Amino acid sequence: MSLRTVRWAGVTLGALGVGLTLLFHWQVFFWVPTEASMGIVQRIFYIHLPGAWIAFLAFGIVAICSAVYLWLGDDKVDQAARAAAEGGLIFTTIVLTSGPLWGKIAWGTWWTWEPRLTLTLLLWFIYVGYFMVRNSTDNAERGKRFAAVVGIVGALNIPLIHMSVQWFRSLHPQPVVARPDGPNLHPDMLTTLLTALLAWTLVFFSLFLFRYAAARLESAEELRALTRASKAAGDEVPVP
Amino acid sequence: MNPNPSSPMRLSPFTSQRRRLPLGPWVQGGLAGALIVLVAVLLLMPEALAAQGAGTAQARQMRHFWHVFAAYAIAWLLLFGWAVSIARRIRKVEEKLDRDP
Repeated sequence: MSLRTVRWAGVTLGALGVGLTLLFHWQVFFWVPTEASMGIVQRIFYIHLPGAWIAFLAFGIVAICSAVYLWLGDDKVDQAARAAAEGGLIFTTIVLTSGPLWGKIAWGTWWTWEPRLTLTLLLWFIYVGYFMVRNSTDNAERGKRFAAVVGIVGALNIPLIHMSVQWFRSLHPQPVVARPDGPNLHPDMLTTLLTALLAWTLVFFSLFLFRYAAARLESAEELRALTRASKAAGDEVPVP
Repeated sequence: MNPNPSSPMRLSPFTSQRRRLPLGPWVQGGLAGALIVLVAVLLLMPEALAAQGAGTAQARQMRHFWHVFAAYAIAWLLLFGWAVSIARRIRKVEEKLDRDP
């Protein structure tokens, strides 16, 4: 995919995402009914669940790109993995901050070491580790390979997080949307949730593409600097 | 072997003004506008929520408004911060490429 295509895809997705985001904020604050037992604080749900969905999506992209990078060694795939990992970390942070703000009202505590919360925190640490491992060696290629392994292993945590509320005794609620018998939500709440999901998915892909473009530009600049240095030293010029 | 290693365009096809990525202004301008609107929405939110909960048991839950506000504010600060960091990265590289064509 050329940078020109990446640019226009990013701009288009971003414009759609921001527009839908404004719509879902209107829905959340002015339209959707208030939940009976928890009241207003339940409205955190409309960023909490989309945040979790996008974090899983992002780390899925990291795992796939990391596997392809280990197989083919293509730098572009590694740059895509890094861009997705940044997004995944941002959205996991959103989940880990919005959850306690909701839990303090709903459960009476900011945090409890129950399976889903603990595994989500573990996921956050794994992807912080992804960036630490990348930068831990002097050899950039080796750092990328180590990070790719962390990216693949870290994604194994995602199904565990999803299934944890069914496999273990958990304070976290059971799924309300992805259920065998269909979503268990008021239709207006479901509409708002789906709008939020779509909006943030578009925002994520837009920023992901911009971040990928930035990485491509940085690589091009590094290659150019290397070429100039090689020419100045009279060495053979590296092939791009 | 690169057939034309002396050509800067061969190695970095991003330097021309025509191809320059206008990502910084797009990202910053668009998201700044959206952020202003969102701040306005969040400022109007207490009144709107109070109107919905008036006369019901939900009115007492208004104290939880700040939890909702904090959750949304943190989410948007994180996303805006990421967008700004990306825009800065792109601007920095483009300035380098423009400075040394």
